[in-house]
Amino acid sequence: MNLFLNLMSESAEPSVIDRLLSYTGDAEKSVAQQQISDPDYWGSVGIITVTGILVVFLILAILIFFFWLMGTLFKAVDKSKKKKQEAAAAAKAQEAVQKAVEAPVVEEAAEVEDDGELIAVISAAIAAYTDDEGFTIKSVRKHEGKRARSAWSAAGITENTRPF
Amino acid sequence: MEIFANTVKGLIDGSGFMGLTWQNGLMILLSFVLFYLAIKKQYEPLLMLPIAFGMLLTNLPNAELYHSYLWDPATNPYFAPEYIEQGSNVIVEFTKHTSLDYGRVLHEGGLLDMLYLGVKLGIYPPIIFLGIGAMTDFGPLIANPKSFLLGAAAQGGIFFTFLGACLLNLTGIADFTLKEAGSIAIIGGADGPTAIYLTSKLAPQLLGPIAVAAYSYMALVPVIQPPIMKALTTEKERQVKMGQLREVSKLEKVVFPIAVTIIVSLIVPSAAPLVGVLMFGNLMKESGVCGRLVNTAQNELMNIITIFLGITVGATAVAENFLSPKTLFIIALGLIAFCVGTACGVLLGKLMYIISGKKINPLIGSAGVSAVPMAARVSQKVGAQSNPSNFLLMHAMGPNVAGVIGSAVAAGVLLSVLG
Repeated sequence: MNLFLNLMSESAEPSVIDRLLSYTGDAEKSVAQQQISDPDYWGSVGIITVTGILVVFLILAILIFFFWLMGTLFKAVDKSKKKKQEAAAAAKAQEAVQKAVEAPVVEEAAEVEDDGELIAVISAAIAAYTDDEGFTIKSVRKHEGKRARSAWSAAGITENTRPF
Repeated sequence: MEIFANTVKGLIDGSGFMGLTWQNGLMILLSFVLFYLAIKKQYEPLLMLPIAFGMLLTNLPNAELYHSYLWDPATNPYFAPEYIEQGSNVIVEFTKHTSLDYGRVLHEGGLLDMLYLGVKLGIYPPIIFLGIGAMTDFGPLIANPKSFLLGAAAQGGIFFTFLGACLLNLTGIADFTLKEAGSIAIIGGADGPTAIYLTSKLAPQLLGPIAVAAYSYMALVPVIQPPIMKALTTEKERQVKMGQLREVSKLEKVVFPIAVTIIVSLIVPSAAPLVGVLMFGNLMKESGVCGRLVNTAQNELMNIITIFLGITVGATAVAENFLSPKTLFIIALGLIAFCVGTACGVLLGKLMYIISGKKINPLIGSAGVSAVPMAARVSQKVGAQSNPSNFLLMHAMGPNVAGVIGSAVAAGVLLSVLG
Protein backbone atom coordinates (compact mmCIF):
# COMPACT_ATOMS: atom_id res chain seq x y z
CA MET A 1 0.00 0.00 0.00
CA ASN A 2 2.85 2.28 0.89
CA LEU A 3 4.39 1.58 -2.49
CA PHE A 4 1.07 2.29 -4.15
CA LEU A 5 0.77 5.68 -2.46
CA ASN A 6 4.34 6.39 -3.37
CA LEU A 7 3.52 5.72 -6.98
CA MET A 8 0.43 7.85 -7.05
CA SER A 9 1.71 10.84 -5.13
CA GLU A 10 4.22 13.29 -6.46
CA SER A 11 6.01 13.61 -3.14
CA ALA A 12 9.32 15.37 -2.76
CA GLU A 13 10.99 12.07 -1.85
CA PRO A 14 11.91 10.12 -4.94
CA SER A 15 9.54 7.17 -5.26
CA VAL A 16 10.58 3.57 -5.71
CA ILE A 17 9.91 3.79 -9.42
CA ASP A 18 11.98 6.93 -9.75
CA ARG A 19 14.82 5.08 -8.07
CA LEU A 20 14.41 2.16 -10.47
CA LEU A 21 14.40 4.50 -13.44
CA SER A 22 17.47 6.39 -12.25
CA TYR A 23 19.84 3.44 -12.74
CA THR A 24 22.27 4.19 -15.52
CA GLY A 25 24.10 0.89 -15.80
CA ASP A 26 27.80 0.19 -15.44
CA ALA A 27 30.44 -2.14 -16.80
CA GLU A 28 29.28 -5.11 -14.74
CA LYS A 29 25.52 -4.81 -14.92
CA SER A 30 23.22 -3.32 -17.53
CA VAL A 31 20.39 -0.99 -16.55
CA ALA A 32 17.89 -3.83 -16.73
CA GLN A 33 20.02 -6.07 -14.52
CA GLN A 34 20.43 -3.32 -11.95
CA GLN A 35 16.69 -2.73 -11.96
CA ILE A 36 15.86 -6.40 -11.56
CA SER A 37 18.21 -6.83 -8.61
CA ASP A 38 16.43 -4.02 -6.76
CA PRO A 39 14.34 -5.55 -3.96
CA ASP A 40 11.30 -3.47 -4.94
CA TYR A 41 11.44 -4.42 -8.62
CA TRP A 42 8.65 -6.98 -8.72
CA GLY A 43 6.44 -4.93 -6.44
CA SER A 44 6.76 -1.98 -8.77
CA VAL A 45 6.14 -4.05 -11.88
CA GLY A 46 3.01 -5.51 -10.29
CA ILE A 47 1.76 -2.13 -9.24
CA ILE A 48 2.39 -0.54 -12.63
CA THR A 49 0.45 -3.39 -14.24
CA VAL A 50 -2.48 -3.24 -11.84
CA THR A 51 -2.76 0.55 -11.68
CA GLY A 52 -2.44 0.71 -15.46
CA ILE A 53 -5.44 -1.53 -15.99
CA LEU A 54 -7.41 0.14 -13.23
CA VAL A 55 -6.78 3.67 -14.48
CA VAL A 56 -7.78 2.74 -18.04
CA PHE A 57 -10.99 1.15 -16.75
CA LEU A 58 -11.66 4.04 -14.38
CA ILE A 59 -11.39 6.67 -17.09
CA LEU A 60 -13.48 4.73 -19.55
CA ALA A 61 -16.04 4.04 -16.79
CA ILE A 62 -16.30 7.76 -16.12
CA LEU A 63 -16.81 8.32 -19.85
CA ILE A 64 -19.51 5.64 -19.91
CA PHE A 65 -21.33 7.28 -17.03
CA PHE A 66 -21.07 10.71 -18.65
CA PHE A 67 -22.32 9.62 -22.04
CA TRP A 68 -25.00 7.37 -20.59
CA LEU A 69 -26.24 10.42 -18.69
CA MET A 70 -26.04 12.56 -21.80
CA GLY A 71 -27.85 9.88 -23.83
CA THR A 72 -30.73 9.66 -21.34
CA LEU A 73 -31.00 13.43 -21.20
CA PHE A 74 -31.12 13.72 -24.96
CA LYS A 75 -33.64 10.91 -25.23
CA ALA A 76 -35.86 12.66 -22.68
CA VAL A 77 -35.58 15.97 -24.52
CA ASP A 78 -36.31 14.21 -27.82
CA LYS A 79 -39.36 12.56 -26.33
CA SER A 80 -40.82 15.77 -24.94
CA LYS A 81 -40.18 17.46 -28.27
CA LYS A 82 -41.88 14.64 -30.09
CA LYS A 83 -44.84 14.81 -27.73
CA LYS A 84 -45.23 18.50 -28.41
CA GLN A 85 -45.01 17.90 -32.13
CA GLU A 86 -47.51 15.10 -31.91
CA ALA A 87 -49.87 17.27 -29.91
CA ALA A 88 -49.58 20.02 -32.50
CA ALA A 89 -50.15 17.56 -35.32
CA ALA A 90 -53.18 16.10 -33.57
CA ALA A 91 -54.68 19.56 -33.10
CA LYS A 92 -54.21 20.30 -36.77
CA ALA A 93 -55.75 17.02 -37.80
CA GLN A 94 -58.76 17.67 -35.66
CA GLU A 95 -59.21 21.07 -37.25
CA ALA A 96 -59.04 19.52 -40.69
CA VAL A 97 -61.63 16.90 -39.76
CA GLN A 98 -63.93 19.58 -38.42
CA LYS A 99 -63.57 21.56 -41.62
CA ALA A 100 -64.30 18.49 -43.69
CA VAL A 101 -67.41 17.77 -41.68
CA GLU A 102 -68.59 21.30 -42.10
CA ALA A 103 -68.13 21.16 -45.87
CA PRO A 104 -71.30 20.66 -47.92
CA VAL A 105 -72.33 17.03 -48.22
CA VAL A 106 -73.97 17.55 -51.60
CA GLU A 107 -70.68 17.90 -53.37
CA GLU A 108 -69.49 14.53 -52.13
CA ALA A 109 -72.54 12.83 -53.53
CA ALA A 110 -72.10 14.59 -56.85
CA GLU A 111 -68.54 13.40 -57.06
CA VAL A 112 -69.42 9.77 -57.21
CA GLU A 113 -70.48 8.92 -60.70
CA ASP A 114 -72.68 5.96 -61.23
CA ASP A 115 -72.56 5.65 -64.94
CA GLY A 116 -72.22 2.03 -66.06
CA GLU A 117 -70.98 2.92 -69.51
CA LEU A 118 -68.25 5.23 -68.18
CA ILE A 119 -67.06 2.63 -65.70
CA ALA A 120 -66.84 0.02 -68.42
CA VAL A 121 -64.72 2.31 -70.59
CA ILE A 122 -62.41 3.19 -67.71
CA SER A 123 -61.93 -0.45 -66.66
CA ALA A 124 -61.19 -1.42 -70.26
CA ALA A 125 -58.61 1.35 -70.48
CA ILE A 126 -56.94 0.28 -67.24
CA ALA A 127 -56.94 -3.37 -68.32
CA ALA A 128 -55.32 -2.44 -71.63
CA TYR A 129 -52.78 -0.23 -69.93
CA THR A 130 -51.71 -2.60 -67.16
CA ASP A 131 -52.18 -5.94 -68.88
CA ASP A 132 -53.91 -7.07 -65.75
CA GLU A 133 -57.44 -8.30 -65.40
CA GLY A 134 -57.50 -9.05 -61.70
CA PHE A 135 -58.87 -5.73 -60.45
CA THR A 136 -62.16 -4.19 -59.47
CA ILE A 137 -63.14 -0.57 -59.66
CA LYS A 138 -64.66 0.48 -56.39
CA SER A 139 -65.58 4.03 -57.19
CA VAL A 140 -65.09 6.66 -59.81
CA ARG A 141 -64.91 10.30 -58.89
CA LYS A 142 -64.75 13.37 -60.94
CA HIS A 143 -61.43 15.14 -60.46
CA GLU A 144 -62.16 18.28 -58.53
CA GLY A 145 -58.59 19.42 -58.27
CA LYS A 146 -57.18 22.83 -58.82
CA ARG A 147 -57.45 24.50 -62.16
CA ALA A 148 -56.28 22.16 -64.92
CA ARG A 149 -53.14 23.04 -66.86
CA SER A 150 -53.54 25.08 -69.96
CA ALA A 151 -52.97 23.27 -73.26
CA TRP A 152 -49.68 25.13 -73.67
CA SER A 153 -48.20 24.15 -70.32
CA ALA A 154 -49.38 20.56 -70.78
CA ALA A 155 -47.64 20.50 -74.17
CA GLY A 156 -44.51 21.96 -72.55
CA ILE A 157 -44.44 19.26 -69.88
CA THR A 158 -44.93 16.50 -72.46
CA GLU A 159 -42.12 17.95 -74.53
CA ASN A 160 -39.74 18.08 -71.60
CA THR A 161 -40.50 14.71 -70.08
CA ARG A 162 -40.89 12.62 -73.19
CA PRO A 163 -37.53 10.84 -72.98
CA PHE A 164 -38.40 9.61 -69.52
CA MET B 1 48.53 11.82 -63.36
CA GLU B 2 49.09 11.53 -59.66
CA ILE B 3 46.29 13.97 -59.00
CA PHE B 4 43.97 11.82 -61.11
CA ALA B 5 44.98 8.65 -59.26
CA ASN B 6 44.45 10.34 -55.90
CA THR B 7 41.02 11.56 -56.92
CA VAL B 8 39.97 8.12 -58.03
CA LYS B 9 41.33 6.62 -54.82
CA GLY B 10 39.46 9.23 -52.80
CA LEU B 11 36.23 8.40 -54.62
CA ILE B 12 36.68 4.69 -54.03
CA ASP B 13 37.49 5.20 -50.34
CA GLY B 14 34.49 7.45 -49.93
CA SER B 15 32.12 5.09 -51.69
CA GLY B 16 29.68 2.98 -49.75
CA PHE B 17 31.35 -0.28 -50.75
CA MET B 18 34.36 0.38 -48.55
CA GLY B 19 32.20 1.04 -45.49
CA LEU B 20 29.82 -1.85 -46.07
CA THR B 21 29.72 -4.31 -43.19
CA TRP B 22 27.84 -7.61 -43.07
CA GLN B 23 25.43 -6.02 -40.60
CA ASN B 24 24.55 -3.28 -43.09
CA GLY B 25 24.16 -5.89 -45.80
CA LEU B 26 21.82 -7.95 -43.67
CA MET B 27 19.73 -4.90 -42.81
CA ILE B 28 19.47 -3.99 -46.49
CA LEU B 29 18.27 -7.53 -47.23
CA LEU B 30 15.78 -7.17 -44.39
CA SER B 31 14.44 -4.01 -45.96
CA PHE B 32 13.86 -6.07 -49.11
CA VAL B 33 11.72 -8.45 -47.07
CA LEU B 34 9.67 -5.49 -45.88
CA PHE B 35 9.36 -4.26 -49.48
CA TYR B 36 7.94 -7.67 -50.32
CA LEU B 37 5.48 -7.51 -47.42
CA ALA B 38 4.42 -3.98 -48.38
CA ILE B 39 4.16 -4.34 -52.15
CA LYS B 40 3.24 -7.97 -52.74
CA LYS B 41 1.40 -8.80 -49.52
CA GLN B 42 0.10 -5.24 -49.00
CA TYR B 43 0.66 -5.27 -45.23
CA GLU B 44 -0.22 -1.66 -44.28
CA PRO B 45 1.69 -0.54 -47.38
CA LEU B 46 1.25 3.18 -46.71
CA LEU B 47 3.53 2.86 -43.71
CA MET B 48 5.45 -0.32 -44.39
CA LEU B 49 6.90 0.94 -47.66
CA PRO B 50 8.28 4.20 -46.22
CA ILE B 51 9.59 2.28 -43.17
CA ALA B 52 11.34 -0.21 -45.43
CA PHE B 53 12.87 2.55 -47.54
CA GLY B 54 14.03 4.43 -44.46
CA MET B 55 15.66 1.23 -43.31
CA LEU B 56 17.41 0.88 -46.65
CA LEU B 57 18.66 4.48 -46.68
CA THR B 58 19.94 4.45 -43.13
CA ASN B 59 21.97 1.31 -43.67
CA LEU B 60 23.77 2.58 -46.76
CA PRO B 61 27.26 3.34 -45.47
CA ASN B 62 28.61 6.88 -45.81
CA ALA B 63 25.27 8.17 -47.02
CA GLU B 64 25.07 10.20 -43.81
CA LEU B 65 21.30 10.52 -43.85
CA TYR B 66 20.76 9.47 -40.26
CA HIS B 67 23.16 9.42 -37.32
CA SER B 68 22.12 7.27 -34.41
CA TYR B 69 24.80 8.76 -32.14
CA LEU B 70 23.06 12.13 -32.31
CA TRP B 71 19.95 10.63 -30.76
CA ASP B 72 21.52 8.97 -27.75
CA PRO B 73 22.04 11.16 -24.68
CA ALA B 74 25.08 9.02 -23.84
CA THR B 75 26.91 10.09 -27.00
CA ASN B 76 25.29 13.48 -27.51
CA PRO B 77 24.56 14.94 -24.09
CA TYR B 78 23.36 18.46 -23.53
CA PHE B 79 25.55 20.71 -21.42
CA ALA B 80 23.53 23.55 -19.99
CA PRO B 81 25.52 26.73 -19.37
CA GLU B 82 25.30 28.39 -15.99
CA TYR B 83 26.56 31.93 -15.57
CA ILE B 84 28.18 32.69 -12.23
CA GLU B 85 29.24 36.24 -11.45
CA GLN B 86 32.46 36.61 -9.51
CA GLY B 87 33.14 40.26 -8.98
CA SER B 88 33.56 41.73 -12.43
CA ASN B 89 34.12 38.35 -14.04
CA VAL B 90 31.45 36.01 -15.26
CA ILE B 91 32.33 32.34 -15.11
CA VAL B 92 30.47 29.91 -17.29
CA GLU B 93 29.94 26.42 -15.92
CA PHE B 94 28.41 23.62 -17.89
CA THR B 95 26.24 20.99 -16.25
CA LYS B 96 25.54 17.76 -18.05
CA HIS B 97 21.85 17.05 -18.60
CA THR B 98 20.14 13.79 -19.43
CA SER B 99 18.57 15.30 -22.55
CA LEU B 100 19.97 15.56 -26.05
CA ASP B 101 21.96 18.41 -27.52
CA TYR B 102 19.57 19.44 -30.26
CA GLY B 103 21.98 22.15 -31.42
CA ARG B 104 24.41 19.47 -32.46
CA VAL B 105 21.62 17.63 -34.27
CA LEU B 106 20.96 20.76 -36.32
CA HIS B 107 24.66 21.28 -37.04
CA GLU B 108 25.64 17.76 -37.95
CA GLY B 109 22.38 16.07 -38.90
CA GLY B 110 21.49 14.67 -42.30
CA LEU B 111 18.14 14.78 -44.07
CA LEU B 112 16.56 12.00 -42.04
CA ASP B 113 17.92 13.44 -38.79
CA MET B 114 16.01 16.63 -39.55
CA LEU B 115 12.81 14.78 -40.32
CA TYR B 116 13.30 12.58 -37.26
CA LEU B 117 12.98 15.66 -35.06
CA GLY B 118 9.24 15.38 -35.64
CA VAL B 119 9.19 11.89 -34.14
CA LYS B 120 11.60 12.65 -31.32
CA LEU B 121 9.76 15.79 -30.28
CA GLY B 122 6.42 14.00 -30.45
CA ILE B 123 4.94 15.98 -33.34
CA TYR B 124 4.03 13.45 -36.03
CA PRO B 125 1.92 10.93 -34.09
CA PRO B 126 -0.49 13.57 -32.74
CA ILE B 127 -0.90 15.04 -36.22
CA ILE B 128 -1.77 11.58 -37.56
CA PHE B 129 -4.28 11.38 -34.72
CA LEU B 130 -5.74 14.69 -35.91
CA GLY B 131 -6.48 13.09 -39.26
CA ILE B 132 -7.85 9.94 -37.63
CA GLY B 133 -10.14 12.07 -35.49
CA ALA B 134 -11.36 13.90 -38.57
CA MET B 135 -12.23 10.58 -40.19
CA THR B 136 -13.78 8.77 -37.24
CA ASP B 137 -17.47 8.63 -36.52
CA PHE B 138 -17.94 8.16 -32.78
CA GLY B 139 -21.71 7.77 -33.28
CA PRO B 140 -21.82 4.01 -32.52
CA LEU B 141 -19.91 4.64 -29.30
CA ILE B 142 -22.20 7.48 -28.22
CA ALA B 143 -25.25 5.35 -29.01
CA ASN B 144 -23.89 2.51 -26.89
CA PRO B 145 -21.48 3.87 -24.25
CA LYS B 146 -21.07 0.38 -22.77
CA SER B 147 -18.70 -0.22 -25.68
CA PHE B 148 -16.11 1.76 -23.75
CA LEU B 149 -15.74 -1.22 -21.40
CA LEU B 150 -14.75 -3.48 -24.28
CA GLY B 151 -12.27 -0.87 -25.48
CA ALA B 152 -10.75 -0.86 -22.01
CA ALA B 153 -10.66 -4.64 -21.62
CA ALA B 154 -8.74 -5.10 -24.84
CA GLN B 155 -5.95 -2.96 -23.38
CA GLY B 156 -5.34 -5.86 -20.99
CA GLY B 157 -2.91 -7.15 -23.59
CA ILE B 158 -0.69 -4.12 -23.02
CA PHE B 159 -0.29 -4.62 -19.30
CA PHE B 160 -0.02 -8.38 -19.56
CA THR B 161 2.84 -7.93 -22.00
CA PHE B 162 4.51 -5.41 -19.73
CA LEU B 163 4.53 -8.08 -17.06
CA GLY B 164 5.65 -10.66 -19.62
CA ALA B 165 8.62 -8.55 -20.77
CA CYS B 166 9.73 -8.13 -17.15
CA LEU B 167 9.33 -11.86 -16.49
CA LEU B 168 11.41 -12.61 -19.56
CA ASN B 169 14.30 -10.87 -17.79
CA LEU B 170 14.23 -13.66 -15.20
CA THR B 171 15.28 -16.21 -17.79
CA GLY B 172 18.48 -14.26 -18.31
CA ILE B 173 18.28 -14.36 -22.12
CA ALA B 174 16.69 -10.93 -22.43
CA ASP B 175 17.28 -7.79 -20.55
CA PHE B 176 14.61 -5.19 -20.93
CA THR B 177 14.55 -2.09 -18.79
CA LEU B 178 11.21 -0.94 -17.41
CA LYS B 179 10.99 1.74 -20.10
CA GLU B 180 11.66 -0.80 -22.81
CA ALA B 181 9.08 -3.17 -21.36
CA GLY B 182 6.50 -0.38 -21.44
CA SER B 183 7.30 0.44 -25.06
CA ILE B 184 7.05 -3.18 -26.16
CA ALA B 185 3.79 -3.62 -24.29
CA ILE B 186 2.11 -0.76 -26.19
CA ILE B 187 2.23 -2.91 -29.36
CA GLY B 188 -0.85 -4.55 -27.79
CA GLY B 189 -2.70 -1.27 -28.24
CA ALA B 190 -2.75 -2.09 -31.96
CA ASP B 191 -2.36 1.57 -32.73
CA GLY B 192 0.66 2.64 -34.77
CA PRO B 193 0.86 6.34 -33.88
CA THR B 194 0.38 5.62 -30.16
CA ALA B 195 3.09 2.97 -30.20
CA ILE B 196 5.51 5.30 -31.99
CA TYR B 197 4.69 8.20 -29.69
CA LEU B 198 5.28 6.23 -26.50
CA THR B 199 8.38 4.46 -27.78
CA SER B 200 9.98 7.68 -28.99
CA LYS B 201 9.61 9.01 -25.45
CA LEU B 202 10.57 5.89 -23.47
CA ALA B 203 12.91 3.76 -25.56
CA PRO B 204 13.74 5.41 -28.91
CA GLN B 205 16.41 2.79 -29.63
CA LEU B 206 13.61 0.23 -30.08
CA LEU B 207 11.52 2.38 -32.40
CA GLY B 208 12.38 0.39 -35.53
CA PRO B 209 11.48 -3.11 -34.32
CA ILE B 210 8.44 -1.91 -32.39
CA ALA B 211 6.99 0.00 -35.34
CA VAL B 212 7.60 -2.90 -37.70
CA ALA B 213 6.01 -5.36 -35.26
CA ALA B 214 3.02 -3.10 -34.55
CA TYR B 215 2.22 -2.46 -38.21
CA SER B 216 2.81 -6.08 -39.24
CA TYR B 217 0.45 -7.41 -36.60
CA MET B 218 -2.14 -4.75 -37.43
CA ALA B 219 -2.05 -6.00 -41.00
CA LEU B 220 -2.38 -9.55 -39.70
CA VAL B 221 -5.44 -8.84 -37.54
CA PRO B 222 -7.72 -10.86 -39.90
CA VAL B 223 -5.39 -13.84 -39.43
CA ILE B 224 -4.59 -13.53 -35.72
CA GLN B 225 -8.01 -12.73 -34.30
CA PRO B 226 -10.57 -15.21 -35.72
CA PRO B 227 -9.09 -18.40 -34.17
CA ILE B 228 -9.00 -16.75 -30.73
CA MET B 229 -12.53 -15.42 -31.15
CA LYS B 230 -13.86 -18.79 -32.20
CA ALA B 231 -12.03 -20.66 -29.45
CA LEU B 232 -13.48 -18.46 -26.74
CA THR B 233 -17.11 -18.31 -27.90
CA THR B 234 -19.80 -20.88 -28.57
CA GLU B 235 -21.72 -21.09 -31.83
CA LYS B 236 -24.84 -19.88 -30.04
CA GLU B 237 -23.07 -16.80 -28.71
CA ARG B 238 -21.72 -15.94 -32.13
CA GLN B 239 -25.21 -16.05 -33.60
CA VAL B 240 -26.61 -13.37 -31.30
CA LYS B 241 -28.19 -10.55 -33.26
CA MET B 242 -27.97 -7.11 -31.76
CA GLY B 243 -30.75 -4.51 -31.95
CA GLN B 244 -30.62 -1.37 -34.02
CA LEU B 245 -28.44 1.39 -32.56
CA ARG B 246 -30.32 4.53 -31.63
CA GLU B 247 -29.88 7.64 -33.69
CA VAL B 248 -27.36 10.13 -32.34
CA SER B 249 -28.08 13.83 -32.65
CA LYS B 250 -25.56 16.34 -33.96
CA LEU B 251 -25.38 18.09 -30.59
CA GLU B 252 -24.29 14.87 -28.91
CA LYS B 253 -21.60 14.35 -31.52
CA VAL B 254 -20.32 17.87 -30.91
CA VAL B 255 -20.35 17.51 -27.13
CA PHE B 256 -18.53 14.16 -27.26
CA PRO B 257 -15.03 15.32 -28.34
CA ILE B 258 -15.09 18.27 -25.95
CA ALA B 259 -16.16 16.14 -22.99
CA VAL B 260 -13.67 13.34 -23.70
CA THR B 261 -10.82 15.84 -23.99
CA ILE B 262 -11.65 17.46 -20.67
CA ILE B 263 -12.25 14.23 -18.74
CA VAL B 264 -9.24 12.32 -20.06
CA SER B 265 -6.81 15.23 -19.92
CA LEU B 266 -7.74 16.09 -16.35
CA ILE B 267 -7.12 12.55 -15.14
CA VAL B 268 -4.12 11.58 -17.28
CA PRO B 269 -2.56 14.82 -18.55
CA SER B 270 0.16 12.90 -20.37
CA ALA B 271 -2.49 11.41 -22.67
CA ALA B 272 -3.59 14.90 -23.73
CA PRO B 273 -1.31 15.26 -26.78
CA LEU B 274 -2.88 12.17 -28.34
CA VAL B 275 -6.47 12.26 -27.08
CA GLY B 276 -6.76 16.05 -27.25
CA VAL B 277 -5.68 16.25 -30.87
CA LEU B 278 -7.76 13.21 -31.84
CA MET B 279 -10.81 14.92 -30.40
CA PHE B 280 -9.90 18.23 -32.02
CA GLY B 281 -9.97 16.54 -35.40
CA ASN B 282 -13.29 14.95 -34.56
CA LEU B 283 -14.82 18.24 -33.41
CA MET B 284 -13.78 19.90 -36.67
CA LYS B 285 -15.58 17.13 -38.53
CA GLU B 286 -18.72 16.99 -36.41
CA SER B 287 -19.16 20.73 -36.14
CA GLY B 288 -19.60 20.83 -39.90
CA VAL B 289 -18.22 24.35 -40.14
CA CYS B 290 -14.56 23.58 -40.89
CA GLY B 291 -14.96 21.63 -44.12
CA ARG B 292 -11.69 22.84 -45.61
CA LEU B 293 -9.66 22.13 -42.48
CA VAL B 294 -11.17 18.67 -42.15
CA ASN B 295 -10.31 17.98 -45.74
CA THR B 296 -6.69 18.95 -45.17
CA ALA B 297 -6.39 17.00 -41.91
CA GLN B 298 -7.83 13.84 -43.47
CA ASN B 299 -5.88 13.97 -46.68
CA GLU B 300 -2.86 16.13 -47.44
CA LEU B 301 -1.63 16.75 -43.91
CA MET B 302 -2.01 13.14 -42.89
CA ASN B 303 -0.34 11.88 -46.05
CA ILE B 304 2.63 14.21 -45.66
CA ILE B 305 3.13 13.22 -42.05
CA THR B 306 2.72 9.53 -42.86
CA ILE B 307 5.60 9.80 -45.33
CA PHE B 308 7.84 11.61 -42.82
CA LEU B 309 6.90 9.29 -39.98
CA GLY B 310 7.41 6.11 -41.97
CA ILE B 311 10.74 6.98 -43.48
CA THR B 312 12.24 8.29 -40.23
CA VAL B 313 10.98 5.41 -38.10
CA GLY B 314 12.56 3.10 -40.67
CA ALA B 315 15.76 5.14 -40.42
CA THR B 316 16.09 4.36 -36.72
CA ALA B 317 16.53 0.71 -37.64
CA VAL B 318 20.31 0.89 -37.86
CA ALA B 319 22.14 -2.41 -37.66
CA GLU B 320 23.47 -2.01 -34.13
CA ASN B 321 19.98 -1.42 -32.74
CA PHE B 322 18.03 -3.82 -34.90
CA LEU B 323 20.31 -6.85 -35.13
CA SER B 324 20.01 -8.00 -31.57
CA PRO B 325 18.08 -10.80 -29.88
CA LYS B 326 15.85 -8.06 -28.48
CA THR B 327 14.20 -7.66 -31.87
CA LEU B 328 13.11 -11.29 -31.87
CA PHE B 329 11.73 -10.97 -28.35
CA ILE B 330 9.88 -7.82 -29.35
CA ILE B 331 8.26 -9.60 -32.26
CA ALA B 332 7.23 -12.52 -30.02
CA LEU B 333 5.97 -10.27 -27.21
CA GLY B 334 4.06 -8.12 -29.69
CA LEU B 335 2.18 -11.16 -30.92
CA ILE B 336 1.37 -12.15 -27.33
CA ALA B 337 0.14 -8.61 -26.68
CA PHE B 338 -2.22 -8.80 -29.66
CA CYS B 339 -3.55 -12.22 -28.74
CA VAL B 340 -4.11 -11.41 -25.07
CA GLY B 341 -5.76 -8.11 -25.96
CA THR B 342 -8.16 -9.89 -28.31
CA ALA B 343 -8.88 -12.56 -25.71
CA CYS B 344 -9.54 -9.99 -22.96
CA GLY B 345 -11.98 -8.15 -25.21
CA VAL B 346 -13.86 -11.32 -26.17
CA LEU B 347 -13.97 -12.52 -22.54
CA LEU B 348 -15.46 -9.24 -21.33
CA GLY B 349 -17.85 -9.48 -24.27
CA LYS B 350 -18.89 -12.89 -22.93
CA LEU B 351 -19.46 -11.44 -19.49
CA MET B 352 -21.59 -8.69 -20.99
CA TYR B 353 -23.47 -11.31 -23.00
CA ILE B 354 -24.42 -13.05 -19.77
CA ILE B 355 -25.23 -9.88 -17.82
CA SER B 356 -27.24 -8.32 -20.64
CA GLY B 357 -29.44 -11.42 -20.93
CA LYS B 358 -27.87 -12.66 -24.19
CA LYS B 359 -28.35 -9.40 -26.02
CA ILE B 360 -24.68 -8.59 -26.66
CA ASN B 361 -22.65 -10.61 -29.11
CA PRO B 362 -19.25 -11.33 -27.51
CA LEU B 363 -17.59 -11.11 -30.93
CA ILE B 364 -17.67 -7.32 -30.82
CA GLY B 365 -15.25 -7.47 -27.86
CA SER B 366 -12.28 -8.34 -30.03
CA ALA B 367 -12.72 -5.04 -31.89
CA GLY B 368 -11.62 -3.28 -28.70
CA VAL B 369 -7.98 -3.57 -29.79
CA SER B 370 -8.14 -0.39 -31.92
CA ALA B 371 -6.77 -1.29 -35.41
CA VAL B 372 -9.65 0.73 -36.91
CA PRO B 373 -11.57 -0.43 -38.90
CA MET B 374 -9.91 -3.79 -39.55
CA ALA B 375 -10.80 -5.30 -36.16
CA ALA B 376 -14.45 -4.28 -36.51
CA ARG B 377 -14.56 -5.89 -39.94
CA VAL B 378 -13.17 -9.09 -38.46
CA SER B 379 -16.00 -9.12 -35.88
CA GLN B 380 -18.51 -8.64 -38.68
CA LYS B 381 -16.97 -11.42 -40.74
CA VAL B 382 -16.75 -13.98 -37.97
CA GLY B 383 -20.32 -13.14 -36.91
CA ALA B 384 -21.58 -13.54 -40.47
CA GLN B 385 -19.96 -16.98 -40.70
CA SER B 386 -22.18 -18.21 -37.87
CA ASN B 387 -25.26 -16.33 -38.99
CA PRO B 388 -25.15 -14.85 -42.50
CA SER B 389 -27.95 -12.42 -41.74
CA ASN B 390 -26.07 -10.92 -38.82
CA PHE B 391 -24.63 -7.42 -39.14
CA LEU B 392 -22.26 -6.63 -36.31
CA LEU B 393 -20.16 -4.01 -38.09
CA MET B 394 -21.72 -0.90 -36.56
CA HIS B 395 -21.90 -2.54 -33.13
CA ALA B 396 -18.23 -3.46 -33.38
CA MET B 397 -17.28 0.08 -34.41
CA GLY B 398 -18.20 1.23 -30.88
CA PRO B 399 -15.55 -0.86 -29.07
CA ASN B 400 -13.22 -0.25 -32.00
CA VAL B 401 -13.11 3.53 -31.63
CA ALA B 402 -13.22 3.16 -27.83
CA GLY B 403 -10.05 1.10 -28.25
CA VAL B 404 -8.30 4.09 -29.85
CA ILE B 405 -9.13 6.21 -26.82
CA GLY B 406 -8.27 3.31 -24.51
CA SER B 407 -4.82 2.72 -25.95
CA ALA B 408 -4.05 6.44 -25.92
CA VAL B 409 -5.01 6.49 -22.23
CA ALA B 410 -2.89 3.40 -21.56
CA ALA B 411 0.04 5.09 -23.29
CA GLY B 412 -0.55 8.16 -21.13
CA VAL B 413 -0.49 6.03 -17.98
CA LEU B 414 2.76 4.30 -19.00
CA LEU B 415 4.27 7.64 -19.93
CA SER B 416 3.38 9.27 -16.62
CA VAL B 417 4.69 6.35 -14.56
CA LEU B 418 7.81 5.49 -16.58
CA GLY B 419 8.57 8.72 -18.43
